[in-house]
Amino acid sequence: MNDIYRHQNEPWWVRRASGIDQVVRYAGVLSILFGVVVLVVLFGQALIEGFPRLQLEFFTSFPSRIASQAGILSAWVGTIWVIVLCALMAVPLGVMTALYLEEYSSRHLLSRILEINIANLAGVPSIIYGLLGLGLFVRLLALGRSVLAGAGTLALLILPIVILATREALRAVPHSLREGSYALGASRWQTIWHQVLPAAFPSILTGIILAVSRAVGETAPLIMIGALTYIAFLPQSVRDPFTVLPIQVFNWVSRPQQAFTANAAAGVVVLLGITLTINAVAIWLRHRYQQKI
Amino acid sequence: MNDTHTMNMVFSIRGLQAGYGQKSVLHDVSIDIPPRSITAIIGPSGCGKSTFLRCLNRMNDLTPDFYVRGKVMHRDEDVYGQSVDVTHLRRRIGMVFQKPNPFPKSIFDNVAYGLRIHGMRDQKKITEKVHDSLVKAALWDEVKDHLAMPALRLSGGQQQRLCIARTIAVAPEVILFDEPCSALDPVSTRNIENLIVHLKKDYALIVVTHNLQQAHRIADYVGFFHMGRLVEFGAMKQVFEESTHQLTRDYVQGVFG
Repeated sequence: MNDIYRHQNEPWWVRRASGIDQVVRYAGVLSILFGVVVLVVLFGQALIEGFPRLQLEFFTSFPSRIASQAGILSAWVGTIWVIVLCALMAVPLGVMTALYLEEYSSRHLLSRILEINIANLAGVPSIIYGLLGLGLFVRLLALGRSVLAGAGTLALLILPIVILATREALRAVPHSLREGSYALGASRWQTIWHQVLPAAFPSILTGIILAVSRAVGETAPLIMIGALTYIAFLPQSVRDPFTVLPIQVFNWVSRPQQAFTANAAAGVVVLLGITLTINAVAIWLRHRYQQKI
Repeated sequence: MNDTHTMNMVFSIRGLQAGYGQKSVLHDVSIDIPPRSITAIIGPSGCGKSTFLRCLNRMNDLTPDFYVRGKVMHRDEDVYGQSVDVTHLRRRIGMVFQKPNPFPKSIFDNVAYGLRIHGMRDQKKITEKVHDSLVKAALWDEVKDHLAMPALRLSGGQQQRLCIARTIAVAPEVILFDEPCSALDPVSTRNIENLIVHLKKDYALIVVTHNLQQAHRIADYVGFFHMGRLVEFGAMKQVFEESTHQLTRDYVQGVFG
């Protein structure tokens, strides 16, 4: 296609520029390939190793000392409990915080300090949140090693991510949209509710989903607050002890018996499956929403 | 200028000063805007005409560090008074922007939005108002068969007329236009101009424009701003043809822009 523009006597700088173009293009393709290959290999290996274990019983059995009878029932149920509760806490808090910072607060010293701190919190290692959860939820609020304590800890962990993502989304809403609404005599809240939030919704949703899928995979903070690795019952309320998928996988991997490795691999497949499903739902929701506009 | 004269004016502005932080934009502007007429605000870029327009419906309130001094009276109400409900004020003083900014909703919902936020719930009444507003904005015939279509699929000129329709829907007394045609092609520009001229039997219209021919075509009164000061205000013919100010004469003759 480019050939019709290509002349024999192009000056050297034009030839060099198109040479650089080619290099950048191939470097980009290689980078993408690297990520895709690593993911495929990881997933493929886990799938090959764990596939024989991915039977119905694997999902309906409690963990066991006998590898072939062990399942992930308490783990996946625990994951759903914790994640749903975590999202219920983190999403409203995070979105409201971002709304306040972005739409209501005046750009003064206090809000700037808050801003910097939230950005920093998003980069704090998750084990630190585990310590915080241990001190705050398990001990101070005496929630014990409960679902509530786990969900609270993860909520704290993803709160900064939700806030940052929501703020970015709100900032991306064009100012002209707000002005159009204000010019008709809309109040601040009407403008936010009817114009800003719907326009920002797809991006906010993406941020929330990314944050939640991070929470799904977190292990360290939950081990820190003392989530158990061996649970042979399902939580009946938010005060009950629990385990989650990554902890179960972690437990199986650390066993000396070879047979448990297959269980771990199967657990990894399920965990990846959950994360990918959540992401797929997010993409689908966003797509559907954008079509409506 | 006597009191009854001032009372009839849509806007009566005395000693208006405004700016952003350290930067002052308007200096001591005094002007009276008559009802049911088109007032064009002209002047070179950066002369403060947009800032002036946005003082009238307090759109500048949204800009950080903005300040305003002086008196802006709308009828007998102090626009910057303590007890003014800004949302109520903005409903009565509509505004159409430079770049068409329809909401990312359907054509119908764009016009119905203003009605709904001001508490209209009766679907039949809303439908009726939407119809009337689209007719008044000379858009009805083009969109009547696809009111549910996203407004962003309309052409630029249609979008701007939709923005005018949604402004009309909430029944303002004044409509402010901030260079309403500068993002449009000549045909759309003519449509909007015809519409503006048509609207003056019901509303007071204030049009900020870069385009001197446009001011000449549509305006009844012209205010010429230069470096934040109102140099001259008067009937269109007088400003364009019989001005006694050297600055005005130079500007309308295109000596500087």
